[in-house]
Amino acid sequence: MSATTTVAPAEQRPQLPDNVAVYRDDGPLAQAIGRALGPNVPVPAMALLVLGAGAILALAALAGSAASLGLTAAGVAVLLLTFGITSVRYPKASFHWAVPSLVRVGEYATLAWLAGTADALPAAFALIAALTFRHYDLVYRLRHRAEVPPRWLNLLAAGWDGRVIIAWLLLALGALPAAMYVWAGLLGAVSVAETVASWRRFERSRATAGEFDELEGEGE
Amino acid sequence: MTDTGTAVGGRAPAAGAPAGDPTATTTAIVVAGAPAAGGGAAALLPWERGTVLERLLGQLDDLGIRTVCVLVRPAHEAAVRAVAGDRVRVSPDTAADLRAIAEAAAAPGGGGIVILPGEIVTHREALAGLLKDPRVVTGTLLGGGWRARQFAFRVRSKRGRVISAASPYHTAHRPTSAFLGVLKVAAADRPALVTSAARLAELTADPSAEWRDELERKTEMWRGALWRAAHRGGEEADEGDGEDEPIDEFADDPEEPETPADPVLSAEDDALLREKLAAAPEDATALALVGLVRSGTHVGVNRLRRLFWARPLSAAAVARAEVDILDYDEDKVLLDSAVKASDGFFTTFFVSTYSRYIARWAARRGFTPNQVTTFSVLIGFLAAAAFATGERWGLVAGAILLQAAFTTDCVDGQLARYTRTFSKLGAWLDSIFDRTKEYACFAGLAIGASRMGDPVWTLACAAITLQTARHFSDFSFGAGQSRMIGDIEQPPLERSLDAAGLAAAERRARAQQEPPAEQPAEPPPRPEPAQPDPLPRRVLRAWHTIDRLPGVRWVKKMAAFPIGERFAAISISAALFDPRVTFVVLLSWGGFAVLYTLSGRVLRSIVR
Repeated sequence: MSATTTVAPAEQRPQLPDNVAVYRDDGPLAQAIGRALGPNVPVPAMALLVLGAGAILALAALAGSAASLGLTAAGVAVLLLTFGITSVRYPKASFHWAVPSLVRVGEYATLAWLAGTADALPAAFALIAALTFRHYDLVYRLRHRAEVPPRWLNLLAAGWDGRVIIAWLLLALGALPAAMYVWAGLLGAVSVAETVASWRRFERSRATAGEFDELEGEGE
Repeated sequence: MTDTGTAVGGRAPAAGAPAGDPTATTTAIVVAGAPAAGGGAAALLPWERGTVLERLLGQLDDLGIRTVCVLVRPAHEAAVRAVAGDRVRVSPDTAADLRAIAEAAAAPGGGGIVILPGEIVTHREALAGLLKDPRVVTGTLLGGGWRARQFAFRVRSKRGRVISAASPYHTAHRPTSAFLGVLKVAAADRPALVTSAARLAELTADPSAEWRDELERKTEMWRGALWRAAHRGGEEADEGDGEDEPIDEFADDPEEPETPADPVLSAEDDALLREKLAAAPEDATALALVGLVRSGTHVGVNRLRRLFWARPLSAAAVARAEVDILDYDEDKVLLDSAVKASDGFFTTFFVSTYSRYIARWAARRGFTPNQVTTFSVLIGFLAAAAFATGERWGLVAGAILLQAAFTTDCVDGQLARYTRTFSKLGAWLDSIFDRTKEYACFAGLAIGASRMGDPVWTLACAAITLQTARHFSDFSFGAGQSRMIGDIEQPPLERSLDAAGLAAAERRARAQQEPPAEQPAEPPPRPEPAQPDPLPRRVLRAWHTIDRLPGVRWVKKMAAFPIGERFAAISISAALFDPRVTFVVLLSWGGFAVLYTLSGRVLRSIVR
């Protein structure tokens, strides 16, 4: 019975990607804006996020469906700038929890406002519903399987930045609501199909990564 | 008495772990070093026609654990060998116990290991709850009931993870639960067990002054607890268990009679204390737990719930346990504890009260949780379709169907917990289908409203955005907390105080304008903060304190607008009024919930 048993140190659990970064769902443009402007704008990240989401909500409330194309373009630009900069600059760690919610509010509100100006709110609801699947799946995928979606799916989903631009382009082209319905249907179908396929892979591999269910008080 | 049996049909096949299951526990180390009152090993105390140890070995065998090693003191070897045969291994002292644990963990191959004391008396289901729960990879059995378990070493757990554990030589600052002796270590965490148990063996062979002082402090703590129990006067209503992780992280222990400086115990209590003091330094299981926690291993939590548990150290205590365990209806306890303790008001009082019986019925009919989940989402789609008709009968039918969907949604989780058929896919289906049902009903209501000539798509878009943002705030807040818990820097095993205890001692030392003492400066059980806390912390403490008032916890839960309340609000407002009212209710209550949770979280973030 030897007292000193030399064994390799305990196997480290794989370090998961940062939840906030995954939940934000930034696209390439937002990240580029963040890299270019992030270090140079001396405004706290929290202020930028509140400003961006607040600007969209204010525009949607005040101008509403009567907003001109130019005004909607300005709104989209404000959102891209404020949120984009925060893609590399986070508030202090104890306030990280507020970031993903603000990004979602800014994104969904923009989509609804843009569609509203073309009398296409049902199509916006369809798109937002499809997006909620993607966004909840980001959370559950990380929690249950310790995974993030494949790169191609993230590119296809375009990030919140890509989506508000596409929505504005569709609005400018007069393609609402039909194009938005098609978009929502495609995005939803691809997201669901990829999730089902990746679950099948995970179950077959008998991998042990990830956790089973939410902890008390979180989610439902 | 067949307290090893269970009433649930079809659970027997689960006894043997499926081949290749990486989470299966295959080895048990039974630490039988604790002495009984009047000599002999506590594990050899008589239980019915056999011994406590025989009963435990039978339970382990029934749970499919084939490799068992009983660590026994040389004096009791022959007696234990008569019970456990060649599974016995002689171990002269606690240090040797820990070396044996390290060696067993270092042995090549094999799956998980369970370490437990030989004198433990509990239900098979209590052990199964920990060993057969795939959600807890490495974990412990914990319980509440402070007063009844005054001798159990304590732990502090947060978000389902043990962040500090006590042993004869270690303390847990601001404990939340009692460690009930059972420690399950997954195959992947065996290397951490090897390293920490080997180190503990060295330290335990010759306890340092700091360690000896800690044991001395515990002796006084136990003496005080016994004195208080004797002077409390009858009220012993502290057996409650289930959700014993206090919501109140700033609370001190429940109010107790003032303990004198040198409490004098009755002869009976004095004998109890002496039994405990003889057994405490032999508690290799508690030391092994401290070793794992201090090495940063993720040690999960499984709760005893309302099952029976005891660690008798005398024949009289065993006799009491033999009688007490008869009062427990294992199946009823299992069914009751299948109900999630953290559910909201509506779910707890209007759904779980009967849904648990549907869960039991489904278990007996052999339905799987995933089948029930799928059934639930189908009813949810029917509800959405009924809402979309825009007719009064449709709104009423949709309201009823949505409640049926919600009930079955509660059933699936209860069925999974009752039958212990947990799967990650099941957890995912449950979560994603909940969201699907809710948002499908939003769509149905908005379509119905348009048909009724009152389009509400703006409100529908606002409602889905608000609810998603609320969920993401919860997800992110939870993830941040878990990360913080994982980042706690654990002090080395030599230190008796844990991370929080050391920090508190340092704060006290600084407040007294003295250099930090080398020894844990005479740690009083309830240190008084030297200076008043900052306002946000005081507000938070007051906020937690009012939880003790009856009903306040439920009001707070309702204010957060959980799923049961949301579904009830949808059903009632849609059936009685129209979709516009439904969305207005969802947005107002949800908006109030945002302000409510937001203020709490901002306060906590400032305090941090």
